Amino acid sequence: MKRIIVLAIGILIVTSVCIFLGLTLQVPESEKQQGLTGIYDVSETGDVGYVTYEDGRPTLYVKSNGIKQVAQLPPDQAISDVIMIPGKKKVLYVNSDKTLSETSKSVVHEIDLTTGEDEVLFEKDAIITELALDDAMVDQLFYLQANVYLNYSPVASEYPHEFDVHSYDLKEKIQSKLTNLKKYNMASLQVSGKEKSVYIQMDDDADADTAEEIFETKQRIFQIPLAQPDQSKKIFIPMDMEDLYDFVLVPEQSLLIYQAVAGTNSKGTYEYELFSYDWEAMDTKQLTFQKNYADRPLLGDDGQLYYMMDYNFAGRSPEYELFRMNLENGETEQVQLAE
Amino acid sequence: MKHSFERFVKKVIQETDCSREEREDLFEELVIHLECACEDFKGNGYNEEEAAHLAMRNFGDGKYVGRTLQHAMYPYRREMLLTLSIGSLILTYAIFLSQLFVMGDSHIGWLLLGVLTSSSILFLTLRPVASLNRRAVMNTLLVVHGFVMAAGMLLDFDSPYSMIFATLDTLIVLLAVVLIFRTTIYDVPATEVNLRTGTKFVHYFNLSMGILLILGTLFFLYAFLIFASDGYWGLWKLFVPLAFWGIVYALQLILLNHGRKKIAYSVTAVQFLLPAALFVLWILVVRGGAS
Repeated sequence: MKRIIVLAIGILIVTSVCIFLGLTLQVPESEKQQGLTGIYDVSETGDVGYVTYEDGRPTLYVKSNGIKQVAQLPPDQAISDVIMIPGKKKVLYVNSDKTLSETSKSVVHEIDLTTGEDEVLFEKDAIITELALDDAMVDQLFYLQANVYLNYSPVASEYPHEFDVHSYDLKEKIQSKLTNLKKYNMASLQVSGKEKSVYIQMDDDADADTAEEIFETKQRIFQIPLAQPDQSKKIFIPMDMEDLYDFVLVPEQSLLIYQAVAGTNSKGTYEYELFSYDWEAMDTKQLTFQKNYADRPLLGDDGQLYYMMDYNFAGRSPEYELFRMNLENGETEQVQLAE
Repeated sequence: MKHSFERFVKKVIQETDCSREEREDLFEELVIHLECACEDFKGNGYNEEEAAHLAMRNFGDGKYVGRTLQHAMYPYRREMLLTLSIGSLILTYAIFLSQLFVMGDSHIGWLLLGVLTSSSILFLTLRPVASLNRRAVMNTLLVVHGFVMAAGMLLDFDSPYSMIFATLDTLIVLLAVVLIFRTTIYDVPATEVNLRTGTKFVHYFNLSMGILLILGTLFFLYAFLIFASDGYWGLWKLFVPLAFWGIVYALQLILLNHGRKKIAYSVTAVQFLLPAALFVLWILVVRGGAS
C-alpha cells in the first residue's frame, strides 16, 4: 500500500511539473511563425522586398545594396502582399489580422525607403489579399478585396469570399470598385498598362449551374479591360490543361508562365512546378524540376523569372527560398535573402 | 476462525482477475482447504487459535499466492498490463515534453487523459479492487486508453522525433488491442459457450469489425475537422454504425447464451454492411452540411 501511495504521489508530482511547464513555456500560435514567407516583389532595379516572420511578427525587408528592415508589425498581424513601386524608392504593403474574422480590416501602407516613413494610405473593413501596379500606369494601385469571411459549408474552412477587383488612385487618393463579380475566389492579380487590362485567376464557372458542374469547374485566367470591366475575357489555353494556379502573363511575348501540378512524391504530396505556354506557337514547356512547391512566379525587368520554392509544402511551417531563372538558357540561381 | 480464513482468502482472490462465479468457487475451495489444514493441526495437539494461524502461515503469503494463482490462470497478463501502463505513462510525458520544447505546443488535456488512463490501468493491476467487475472495467479502460494514445500520434506529425514516437505509440496501441482481444476471448470463464470455436470466431470477427469501424469513424471525423473550422451537429450520425455494431454484438452474445447458434452466426453478416453504412453516412453528412 505504501509503495502505491509513493507511486501515486510520484505520478502526481511529475504531472503537475509538466502542467506547470506547459502553462509557462507554451508559445502562442501567433508567435510561432518563423522565417521567410512566399510574399515578395522585385523592383525594376533588382531590389527585392520580402516578408519574413520573426517570432510571429511579420517583418518587411528590402534587399538592395544591403538588407534593410523597413517595417515590423505585431504578431497578431500578417502582411498579405508587397509591391515595389516602379521608378520610386517606395514600397507598398497591405496587412490584416493573422487570424482572419468577419470583422477583420485591411490597411494599405506606403513606405518611403529613403526616409523610412510609413504612411497609411487607406483602411478597409474588408480583407485585401493582393496588390498590383504596372509601370505604365504607376499611379493606379489595383487590389483584390474579399467582402466576406465565412465558410459556405460546415465541411469547409472559413475563407475570404465574394472577391472583386478594386483600384486606388495614389495621386487623387480615390478608391473605386472595378468589377462586380462577387467571386468565390480570385488570385494572382496582374496589371498591364499597355493592354489597359487587369488579369486574374478565378473559377471558370460562367456556365456552371448544378453542384456537380461547380465542383468540376477549373481555374482559368481572365482579362478584364479597365474600360469595360463587365466584359471579362477568358485567356485561351489548351483544353486539356488541368487547374492552373499562380501565373504571370507576358502579353508582348505571348507567354504565360503558370504554376500547375506536375506529379506526386512518394508520400502522395502534389509537386507543383512552373510551366510556360506560348500561345503563338502553342507550345507548353516545363520550366522547373525541383519536385517541391514552386510558387509566385514573377518576371523581373531584367527579363529573368523569379519564383519562390517551398521545401516543406504541406508541412507545418513552410521553408521558402527565392530563385531566379534565365528563361533563355534555363540557368537557375538562388537569391540570397540573408546576410 | 472462519472470519479470519475468509479475510485471508479475500486477500488472495483480490489479486486475481476471476469472474464473480470463479471467485465464489475459488473462495469456497480455499476456505475449505484452510479449514481442513486447521483441523489437521488441531489433531496434532494445537489449540484452535494456533491451528488457524499455522494453517494460514503454511498456506503462504496471501498476496504472493494470489499473484501466483493469477499467473497460472492468466499467464503474463499482469506483466503485459504493467508494461502497457508504465510504457504509456513514460511515452505520454515524453510526447508532451517534446511537443512543448520542440514545437511550443502544450497539450495539457491530452496529457491528463493519458496519465489518467495509464495510471488507472497501473493501479488496478497493482491493487485490484475486488468489488469491481474487473474484466469489464479493464476492457473499457483499455479501449479508452487505446484511443487516447492513438490521438497522441496525431499530435506529433512534424517534430524531429515523430517517427520514434509514432513507432512507440503504435506498439502501445497494439498492446492495448492484444489485451482487449485477450480479455474478451481467452481470459473468460471456461463455460461451454465460451469454449466453443464459434463463440471465439464471433468475438474475433466483432472486435476486428469494431476496430475497423472505430478507425473509420475517427478518420472521417479527422478529415472533417481538418477542413471545417466549426463543429457541426450532424456529425453525430457518424457514430450510428458504431452504436449499431455494439447492439448487434451484444445481441449475438445473448443469442449464443440461449443456444441460438444459427441465428447468432447469421446476424454476423449484418456487421459486414456497417463499414459501407459508415461511408454512405459520411457522404450524406458532407452533403447535408454543404447544403
